[in-house]
Amino acid sequence: MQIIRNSHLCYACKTCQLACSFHHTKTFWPERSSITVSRNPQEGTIEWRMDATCDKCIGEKEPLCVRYCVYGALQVVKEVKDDD
Amino acid sequence: MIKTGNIKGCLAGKILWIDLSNKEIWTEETQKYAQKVLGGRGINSLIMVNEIASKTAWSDSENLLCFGVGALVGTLVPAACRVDVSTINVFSGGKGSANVGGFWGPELKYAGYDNLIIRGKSKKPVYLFINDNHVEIRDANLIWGKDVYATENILRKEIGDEYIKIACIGPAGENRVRGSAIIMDTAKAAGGSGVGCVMGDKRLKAIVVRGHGKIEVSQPAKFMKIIDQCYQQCKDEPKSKVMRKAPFNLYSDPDWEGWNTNIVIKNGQDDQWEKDKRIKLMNPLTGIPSMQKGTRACYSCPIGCIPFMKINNGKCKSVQGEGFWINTIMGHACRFDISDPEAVAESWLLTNKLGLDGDYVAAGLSWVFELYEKGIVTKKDTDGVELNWGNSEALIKMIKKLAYREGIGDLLADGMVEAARKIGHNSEYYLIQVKGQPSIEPFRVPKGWALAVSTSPVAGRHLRGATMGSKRYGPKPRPGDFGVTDYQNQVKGLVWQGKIKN
Repeated sequence: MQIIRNSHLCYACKTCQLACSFHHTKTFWPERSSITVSRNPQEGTIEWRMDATCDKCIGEKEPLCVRYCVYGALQVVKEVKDDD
Repeated sequence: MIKTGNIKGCLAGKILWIDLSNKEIWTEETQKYAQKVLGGRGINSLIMVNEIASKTAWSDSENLLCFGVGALVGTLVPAACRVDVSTINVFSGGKGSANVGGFWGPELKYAGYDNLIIRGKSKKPVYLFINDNHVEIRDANLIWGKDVYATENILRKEIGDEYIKIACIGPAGENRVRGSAIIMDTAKAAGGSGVGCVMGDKRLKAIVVRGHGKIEVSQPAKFMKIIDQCYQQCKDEPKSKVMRKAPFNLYSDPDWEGWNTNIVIKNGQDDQWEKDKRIKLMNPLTGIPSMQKGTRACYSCPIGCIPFMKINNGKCKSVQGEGFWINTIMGHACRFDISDPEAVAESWLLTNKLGLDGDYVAAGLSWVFELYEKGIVTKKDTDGVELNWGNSEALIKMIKKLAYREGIGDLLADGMVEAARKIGHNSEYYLIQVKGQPSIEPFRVPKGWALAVSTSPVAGRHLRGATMGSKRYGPKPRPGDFGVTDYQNQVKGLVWQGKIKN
């Protein structure tokens, strides 16, 4: 399973970062998130990073970042094994 | 009798106090206030009532500038990001407040504070740096005089942390222009009540916040269940999708009903704008919608209504920034009869950059344009600027004059009611204001809107209960079925919208 992000759909609301922190800590603690989002309102740029601490929300029905992304920017895709 | 309750969770826990006169910094527990009142504005108001003596003026050192972040801010509650800024209203002398979204509020809570209360005045320009429990009052020499964009860039460089959140004033606030805003995260304005003017009067240029902490809730699993219900409600609400395109896009249809109900032309001389002007301004290929290069949301907001704008053509080509609202169409276009899309976008972005409240600019300056039309103000008064309807260059020049107090701008900066008194010739008759604060709102056509705006404690603004009929966002059950121009049920509508537009 992979979490992928469509940058064209991202509104940079940081909800994914916050939801992720809840998975890890059961509190709202953006510093303890696997996701970091920063946005430059002057330039219009958005930087979105996910680090190696992401466990794809093990124990949850679906990754919380995907679940609460109402903009559809984050999606879960199943990894396809190449048999050849 | 005030009921008290024991609040568990959600709060950051402390209120940060700063006295700029004697450079004292201290904290107190939030709990004793939170037991009595909820939310940022609630606690701000309670502190103001307790601490400010009657007859204190906005410019007195004893006036407080209060930033309050709501109890749910910083959690996953949809759109819980708002900040209330309360102080003595520079227009009415009563209680003033402004409300703003963005990222600064949650950051203050992660730093450990529910409210920030500023008292006193600094002799020299300063800014605050709040990094968790490390709080510093710093010299603002480097940023004093700079616009909002430059101020943010210098502070990021000086502090060396890209994640800091900044609330600052522009030159307008520094110059104590009454209608000055406090701008958060570059483009979100706490605009009403002259809160930026009070911040400038305290010689406080910026408040930089960085928080590394957490917000805990009392019963996490139950809390998340309710969050899920909230998200489902947002998902089921058909208006969410419309808002996510940035609401101004509704006006790209020249027959959109809002053109007939929300618009005020030439400082209130008319309520209808010619169709060719609507089309020129809002043409999807060449007008305002063509400048929208993306959409953004405030912190944890599932609605996302902020357009990112970039001007395509003209001498301001490539000027860019966040924000363009229906207010901009109502204010910077229609009130001045300006249908040139580049000019309207430029004037709006300039307002942000200089730290002005867009509504003050639109309502106040369109009044001066009308005085020019009536011959009460002449070219002699405006340093040769011809304030003819539709003259976008004149608007840009006047915005700068206002922010920097140049020429007639100095007169207008002290408030339009005060300016009317000095100008004389019955000029106040043409000024649309509520409790001294100029208002851009439509008063004639939308009945509930006009009622709410006229009775709003923020004076002449639409963020406390204003409604355009019963088909807006709001808690259920809804207060019946009524249209924008109906008279019945509008009072119920005001109360209903007041519960959410807070």
